[in-house]
Amino acid sequence: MKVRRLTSRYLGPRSLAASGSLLLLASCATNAPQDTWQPKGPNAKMIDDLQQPVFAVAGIIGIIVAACVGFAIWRYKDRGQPIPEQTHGKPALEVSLTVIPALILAVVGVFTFRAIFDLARTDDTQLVINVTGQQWWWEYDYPVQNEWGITQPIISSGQLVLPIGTKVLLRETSRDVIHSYWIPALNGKRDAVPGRVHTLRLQADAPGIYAGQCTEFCGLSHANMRMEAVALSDADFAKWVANQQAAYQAPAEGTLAKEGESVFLNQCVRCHQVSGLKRADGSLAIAAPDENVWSGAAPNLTKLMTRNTFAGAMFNLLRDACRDDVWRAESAAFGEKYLGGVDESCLNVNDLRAWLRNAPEVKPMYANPALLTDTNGKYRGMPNLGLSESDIDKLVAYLLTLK
Amino acid sequence: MFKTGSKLFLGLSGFAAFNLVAYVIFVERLAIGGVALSLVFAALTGLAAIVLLINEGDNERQPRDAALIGASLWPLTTVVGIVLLILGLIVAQIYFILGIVVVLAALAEWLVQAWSESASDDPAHNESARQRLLHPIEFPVIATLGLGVVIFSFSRIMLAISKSAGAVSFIVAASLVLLIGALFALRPALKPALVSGICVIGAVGIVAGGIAGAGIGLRSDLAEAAEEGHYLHRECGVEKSKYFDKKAMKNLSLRSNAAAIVELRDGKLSAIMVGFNTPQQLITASRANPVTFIFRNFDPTERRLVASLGNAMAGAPAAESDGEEADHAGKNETCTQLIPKGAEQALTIKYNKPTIAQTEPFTLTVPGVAGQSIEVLVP
Amino acid sequence: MAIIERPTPVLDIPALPAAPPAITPSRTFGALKRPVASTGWKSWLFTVDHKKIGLMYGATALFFFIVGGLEAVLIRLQLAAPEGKVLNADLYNQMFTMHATTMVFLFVMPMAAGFANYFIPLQIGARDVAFPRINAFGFWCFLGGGIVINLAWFLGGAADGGWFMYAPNSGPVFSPSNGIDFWALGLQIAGIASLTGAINLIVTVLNMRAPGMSLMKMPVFTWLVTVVQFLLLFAIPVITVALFLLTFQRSFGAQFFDVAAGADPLLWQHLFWIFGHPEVYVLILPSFGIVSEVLPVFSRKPLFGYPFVVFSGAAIGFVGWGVWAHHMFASGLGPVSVAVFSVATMAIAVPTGVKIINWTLTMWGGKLVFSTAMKFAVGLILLFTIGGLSGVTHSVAPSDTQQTDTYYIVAHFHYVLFGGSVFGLFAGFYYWWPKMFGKLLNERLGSLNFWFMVIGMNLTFGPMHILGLQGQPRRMYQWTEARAGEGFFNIAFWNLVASIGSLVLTLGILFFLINIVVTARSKVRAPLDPWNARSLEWMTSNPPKEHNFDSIPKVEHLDEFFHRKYEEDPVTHTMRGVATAEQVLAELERNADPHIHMPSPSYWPLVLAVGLPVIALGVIYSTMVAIVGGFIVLYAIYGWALEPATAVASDFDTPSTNGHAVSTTHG
Repeated sequence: MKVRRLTSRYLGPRSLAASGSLLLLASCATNAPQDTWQPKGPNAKMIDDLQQPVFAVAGIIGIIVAACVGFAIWRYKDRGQPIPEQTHGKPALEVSLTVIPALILAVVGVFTFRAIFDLARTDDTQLVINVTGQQWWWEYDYPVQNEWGITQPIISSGQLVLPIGTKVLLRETSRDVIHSYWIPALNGKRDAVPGRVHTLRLQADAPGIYAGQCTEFCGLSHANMRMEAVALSDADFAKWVANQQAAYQAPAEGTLAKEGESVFLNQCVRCHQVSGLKRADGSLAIAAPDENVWSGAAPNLTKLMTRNTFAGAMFNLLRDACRDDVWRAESAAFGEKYLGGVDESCLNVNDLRAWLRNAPEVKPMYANPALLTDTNGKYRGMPNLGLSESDIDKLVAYLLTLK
Repeated sequence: MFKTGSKLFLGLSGFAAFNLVAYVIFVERLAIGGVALSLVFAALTGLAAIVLLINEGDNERQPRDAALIGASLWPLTTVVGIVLLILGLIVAQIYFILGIVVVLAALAEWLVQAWSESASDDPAHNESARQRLLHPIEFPVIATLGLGVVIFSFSRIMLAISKSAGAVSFIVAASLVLLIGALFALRPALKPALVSGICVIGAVGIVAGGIAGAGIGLRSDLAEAAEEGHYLHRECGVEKSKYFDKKAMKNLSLRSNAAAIVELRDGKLSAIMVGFNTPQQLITASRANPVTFIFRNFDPTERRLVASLGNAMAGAPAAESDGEEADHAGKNETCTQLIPKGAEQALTIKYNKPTIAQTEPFTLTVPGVAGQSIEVLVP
Repeated sequence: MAIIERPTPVLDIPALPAAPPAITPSRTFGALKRPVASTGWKSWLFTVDHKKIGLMYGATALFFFIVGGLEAVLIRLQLAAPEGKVLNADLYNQMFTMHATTMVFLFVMPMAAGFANYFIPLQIGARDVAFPRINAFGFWCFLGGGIVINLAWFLGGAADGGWFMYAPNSGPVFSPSNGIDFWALGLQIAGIASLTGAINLIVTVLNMRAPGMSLMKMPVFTWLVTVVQFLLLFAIPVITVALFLLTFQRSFGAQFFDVAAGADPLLWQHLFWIFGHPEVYVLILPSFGIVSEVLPVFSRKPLFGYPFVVFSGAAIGFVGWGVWAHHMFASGLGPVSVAVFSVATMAIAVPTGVKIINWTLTMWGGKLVFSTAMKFAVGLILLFTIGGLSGVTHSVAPSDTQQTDTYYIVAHFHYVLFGGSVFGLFAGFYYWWPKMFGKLLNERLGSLNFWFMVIGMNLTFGPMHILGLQGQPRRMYQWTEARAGEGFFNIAFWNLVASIGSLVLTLGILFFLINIVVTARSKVRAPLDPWNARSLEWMTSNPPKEHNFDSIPKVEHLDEFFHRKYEEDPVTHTMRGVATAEQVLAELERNADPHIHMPSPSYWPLVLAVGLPVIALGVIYSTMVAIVGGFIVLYAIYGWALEPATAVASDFDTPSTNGHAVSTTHG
């Protein structure tokens, strides 16, 4: 368990915001993974450095106002005193009490200005990652950047993988409605708006997984549109890049996985691309999600088992124990554990099977068939494919080979 | 209290209520049928209430004096309507519909007039009863018809004459309206007959002009624009397109936060993308998603950006018109308009299929500039 | 003294016998006669009396408050535990959309409109508003709009896109039910109420003040409500345009927000928030006005710095137009826009802070009487301060990118809107109840009501600060244990606390409803001036007569009523009583105007307002129905236009004996 570092600087504002709560209790527990007050990178730190004094000042002003009102209540309560003089105010006092908050805000304004422009910089980028939101998952694609060994675009979903200490720039857009990308430990949020490319700076100080959540209401499964940013050391990131670009390995003939591959070719490949997957006749299997999915795409499943999540990061691919092992790993050991991927012993087979059996049952996705007329017969999210249990067995075996 | 009329309507509304309940229980809940039946029920109940409120129209009196019954326009109008209706059956549907409208309107007027004339022995009071009921509908209908004819005629005139003549005649007409209006304002004692006379002359003039204008038809540039797909028809060559470049610079809006800015500078084409510090020759574009490129021309000659959309599997450009370019130009491509030096144009494209599904890569090129091309990689 | 000018029967009857008697039209004229009753259900349905309309606004708004409150309780029950199962995702989305819509458009706005309708003419010494029939029309539009919005619950599901209804998620594919159509058209209709009400009240305030009441002698409530009406006058057209775009997009295939057609979805956000931010001040300023009335009365002291309160209100009215994009700091506007709006948002904190200072200083040195109304007013000062300060924290745009769309924002605006607007309205209920109904609300129940509401509200919304800062986003139908954390700040615990708090809050509001019933049943009449009040509305009977004042008072002071009751001792500067309220009122009655002219009731506002929902249903289901609705509207508009302001003689009932006698002789 990570022990939260507590400095005296944090004390004031935190306790104020928690309405004078018992701070000591908080000091030895892990906060929620999306705590906005635990920056893990310079961008979030910049925001944090700005907001802590603002919270402190706001808290102090709040206490002063409450004290004044409290005093007035106590002191001037009706105890039979005569009706007071009908004074209409003291302009000098008014003006000074107006100017003081204005001055405080002016000071805050100067620092805010600086932070706004610093956080909007794009000219110092070291790695660009395109992020595309879609109901209800995120697609990550890494454009060709030879300096990082990315010689062909890498396309992934569920987890954003980035190297530590690197100024990463997300270029965000969306395929359908507006989504918002938010990893609180790394930076504030930025909306992904269809037709526009918005940028968001991310930089992680240490290896680890940082949780996030879509924060612009995007329909039925908005609550289930999660994200995880995985920070790896440079060496580990290079390994990850190399593996993502490695050629497709077909399962051996005669295995359950090979049968799973043909189920995949019959069913899944209509929407889900696996790079390098070939049909029986030797032609490349090319998914056509644009013909079947309203928003136009479905997660690319190449190297699925190198990710820890599926279905828009709603479910874990790892069993709880294995997942905790990765999430709570020390910085030094994290990269290796993460790159180990998902194997049969760690696979969260229950959720995966439930998903393959009837996806809309476990994730709300406008699955009512009557709605297909609105979308020219295209699905929104994964439909119920009506797979048999044996097909599911085969598919699970096949998916386990995608790493 | 309840007499024949109210009994009829109460019975009908009860029947409607029964149907509504039955429909909701047995057929479908919360559907349009239920809404419709509720409306029928509400309408019938309303009618019953009206009948009750006017005491079934029965005022327990003898037939009134003949003197109370005035002249009526409505028998004649009804006959005109019937003639129109029958003519319509032979000639054209529009006359038939017109006939029905005239007959219904005349009958309604007739009914109300007849009812109001039996309301009391006081003709002034009867007239005010009729007016209260019918003026709120007579005024707007007559005004709409009158103004509609005038406006429609005016629009025919404006569509027929040339652009500059249109402006001139508009100025003349406006000045006339102003002048005559000022005259009326300065001379309030003017005879009403004179005022209405001038208005009628003006209206007749416009209607006459309108008939003439309708005979002439649309002026040539409007007629051309009205052709099907006129503005969708894209010709992406070096030359000006007959259709597409008519109003260059105005047809596509410029966008902020575009995916890339494509510049033609010193004969070289390059893409500037936020996040990349140097101009790029390769753009990675999100698949199945409208992608906007902005083309900036720094070349002295007029240029356009052409996006090749790959072979048959490529998606159509986002701006409507599936496959129409392909039919006309023989190539699957879309383009901006020809723009002069220093100008910008946006181009929104949706790549539905990935590059691996293509035999040729997606590219951005400028006709007339050889050897310069930007590849668009769709993963 | 005649209240309504009408022919007296004494004049009518003797005139008849000479000539051959004409048949009296009383029976055949039937429904076509203009309504003239001043009692009975018809007097409410066809009324143009600003007080009756104000009460109808209030009663309807209270009903919607209960509806919206129940929606809120369902939301909190769903979120009490992880993976909540009370509502499914679809229902949850409808619930939070409708909760916000109901509370903003169908409770706070009309409740404030109700108070404004009732009290502005009284506060400025007028006998009615400038356009009484338009006033009635406004109420029926509001009711019709509210019904249309909520009708969707029974016709396939309510709106589910959030009250902000961001495009393109509000498009026909992304929200396939008709809920958003009902929402957009219902708001359009309710918007007519706000717009006509705004024009009406502005004209009333500018033209119909009692002699001597200069603008700077106007009560603060009237002042701030007038600012609100100007905000509405300019804000409602913007949302009207936006809603038209939305309706055309959904019902007629327009492409205003369709990216592929070259549109930009951010257009909607700009339109919505250019309306939406002034709307925030529309919601809060009437409550500011109410506490600015209540605090001086119960402090026995004039409002401290009246001109500062008035001008800061006006300043808010202006600057409120320049801060809309602070709702969009995460939308990707670019740093320049963000910086400008960030600073503008900080700037608007200043005039708001001025009000807090003035209220505190009003109490300072006073003689504070803690009636329930006063408790709510003081509650507003403290709770609004918390909301205001959390507002300042997210005027800092970078900080806002962490907080926006989390529960921190939910906490913020509930402190502002519940702790501010709603507490102000409750202060108004307790303060003005005797004026409206002639009976005092029970103070014991009032105290319970107040304390349960304060505790419940802080338990509900206080923890949301923590939830938000711990990263729980808004509008999630479920939250998961996996992201809850441990220890003191864990999301699970504070969600539970918030849900329990919502039940405490519900109990508090239940006490208010019980109080209404208890008070209605009580036989004890309120004294004429129960609070020792200061402004003109108390210079008439409880409840006021139909024509408000027997004679219009001449105004010499701000707080005229107080100055008629008290005089300053020139030596000690304390106030001593010179007249009782009864004496002041008797003085006015002695000088009653001999001739009081009041407008007549009318059918047309109601008929016109009925046509609009019919059009709305037609737009959704069938054009033919819309045409019928259009016909009703057209008919009503002309009927209205051709109708004189005051009913003609023949509209009044002639004594039945006369009519009967005549008809038998003739028959």
